[in-house]
Amino acid sequence: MSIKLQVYKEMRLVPVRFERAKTGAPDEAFPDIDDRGHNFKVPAMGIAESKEIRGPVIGLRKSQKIKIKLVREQIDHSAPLFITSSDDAVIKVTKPAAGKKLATGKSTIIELEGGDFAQANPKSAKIEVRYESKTGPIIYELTAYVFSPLPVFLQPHIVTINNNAGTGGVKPAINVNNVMTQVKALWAAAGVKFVVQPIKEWSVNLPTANKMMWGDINTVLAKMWQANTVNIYVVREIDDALGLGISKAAHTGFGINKPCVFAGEKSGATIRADTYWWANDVAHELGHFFTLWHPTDDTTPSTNWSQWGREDTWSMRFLMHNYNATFRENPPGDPADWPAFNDFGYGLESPGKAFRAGLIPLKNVRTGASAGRDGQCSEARTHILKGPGSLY
Amino acid sequence: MMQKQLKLLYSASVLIVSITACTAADQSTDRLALYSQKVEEVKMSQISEAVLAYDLSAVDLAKAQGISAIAELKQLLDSEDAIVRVVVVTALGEFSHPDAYTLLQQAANDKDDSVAVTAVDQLIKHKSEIGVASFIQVLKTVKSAATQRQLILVIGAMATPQETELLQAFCADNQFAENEAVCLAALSRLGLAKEQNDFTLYLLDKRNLEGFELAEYISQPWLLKTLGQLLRYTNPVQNLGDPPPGFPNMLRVCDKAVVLIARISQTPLSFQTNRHMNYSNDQIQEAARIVGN
Repeated sequence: MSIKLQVYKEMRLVPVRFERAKTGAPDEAFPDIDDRGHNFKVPAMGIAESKEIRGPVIGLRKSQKIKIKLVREQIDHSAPLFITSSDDAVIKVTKPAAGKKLATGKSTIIELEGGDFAQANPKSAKIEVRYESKTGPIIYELTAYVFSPLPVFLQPHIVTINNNAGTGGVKPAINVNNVMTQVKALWAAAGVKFVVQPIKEWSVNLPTANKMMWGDINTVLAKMWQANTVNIYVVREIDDALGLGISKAAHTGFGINKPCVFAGEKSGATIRADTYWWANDVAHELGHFFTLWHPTDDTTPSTNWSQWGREDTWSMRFLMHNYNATFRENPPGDPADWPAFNDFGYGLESPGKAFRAGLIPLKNVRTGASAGRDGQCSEARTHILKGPGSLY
Repeated sequence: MMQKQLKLLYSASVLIVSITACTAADQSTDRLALYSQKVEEVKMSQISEAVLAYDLSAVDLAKAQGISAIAELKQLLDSEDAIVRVVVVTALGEFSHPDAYTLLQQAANDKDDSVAVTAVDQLIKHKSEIGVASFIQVLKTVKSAATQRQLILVIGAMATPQETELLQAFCADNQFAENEAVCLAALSRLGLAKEQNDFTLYLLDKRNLEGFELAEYISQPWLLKTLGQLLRYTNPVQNLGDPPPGFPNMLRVCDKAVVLIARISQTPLSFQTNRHMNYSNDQIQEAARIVGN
């Protein structure tokens, strides 16, 4: 089948591309791919800063098995393609089997496995798409970073907030184990391995049952806080917030006695029951705990987010986007002239309102004045590796 | 697999100890001693089980048992599983004991960075007992930039003039370029004039969070003039995540400089500086007056 293209001045042909092999809830076996831009570097992180990388980048841990989808775009769907690794010791192709041709069709699932090399520092290698034979010309590349598992300990607390008389509290109903499975999946692509401690369930008496006000936070932290872990408190409701991620570097400036993560099950009349909503929110707050930025922040008060928060599809793919979900809000001109968001690959919070995605970017596309808002895999790993004294 | 092997190995060793203890107890007919011995064995077993399950309750169990737990932890430090070794070194950090320090110094050279940085963190908790000379020895052997950073900073906070020379010599031949600023900060803090000058140039050039963290670590009056120069920069330098109501989303270079000027000069300002804040121009000018700008 020939493909006809009209070219004015110049055009970059993309015969094939890679994408996440499934949509919906995060899954360790189906990681997201950093396919933003072309010719960008991956910052140093125990491995030197890369040269400009052509094509997408993916992260996984040693021995981790993953699946990604190869999509034939501007090439015949039956074109003979072969998938090879530039270094089998770093990452190997397990499907298609060695020397075998890729199955035909618009989309094909490829299976990869991280190497089990002795070196503790990350290594990178290329997954190459070759035409006609396993030694044929390379028509596309995926760069893979393979990490030793970087452990971060998590201590979940399910806290029932009673009133001062010790009554009226409703235990949060969240299934922490299900949430943690997805939180782990989101961060696996950065090589982070969350080690979740047995859940602690307890109650605390505060002035208002089921609602933690800001003035109450140190009362909660005074009970059951565990050293050497990220303490994650699940409560029924936090006044004026859905979640909080307070890093060790920032906590005293808020008047908060301990670094912590909080997640509120309820926000006004709305109860958050969706596992992915929770997992994405907790994973996002953990990002803040690791000192990561939103794609956009400003010095206006936090209550004015909607005045300046980015609402483009590019930044909505970030785990660290300001909003849990979004829709086209107050666009300039006629709203009908603007496209609606459909889905960033992780489903809809409600009709017409897509969840933000779960990408922890490897590439550093936004540099210069925007530093800190991109290349966040490196940022987070570097912070974690400052040691428990700086982290927890 | 390795976890299971270790578990079996350890169960077998408990069994042997138990048989020996029974024999001794029968001879002395001291049933109370036998009971105490068995209780201790159960505790030791719980430590291993917790460690192998990555459960940080192992830290409290080891602490409760006392220094006899160190030998058991030593065995577990041989695990192939890096996360097991992280839990072990965390537990070892609870002991103010030379045996624990020796194991932690070995672990500071672990092939896995997460084990090594945890071990160094635990050693730092006992820095006054361990002393700078030992830290310098460890510094000469560590393999990662992250552990080197931790050690340089702790040495910079404690070294005598003679030890400062050793650190200076080490830094001159430093293999990790990312720790150049850390070396400058440590040597500046120890009073070396050239490094103080170089650090101010670094801080003015970078104006980043790492620079401010190192400036805070130094916290000495010679920094005030440079901090005064930073008051004119309003670009963001630290993100505060999803902050509580009334707090800014991020701090600017000038905000960080105001806080450090107040802290280092110990001069009262007309406003609080112990909470995150984007300071007004008037407040920034007040801070500038302290440093003579």
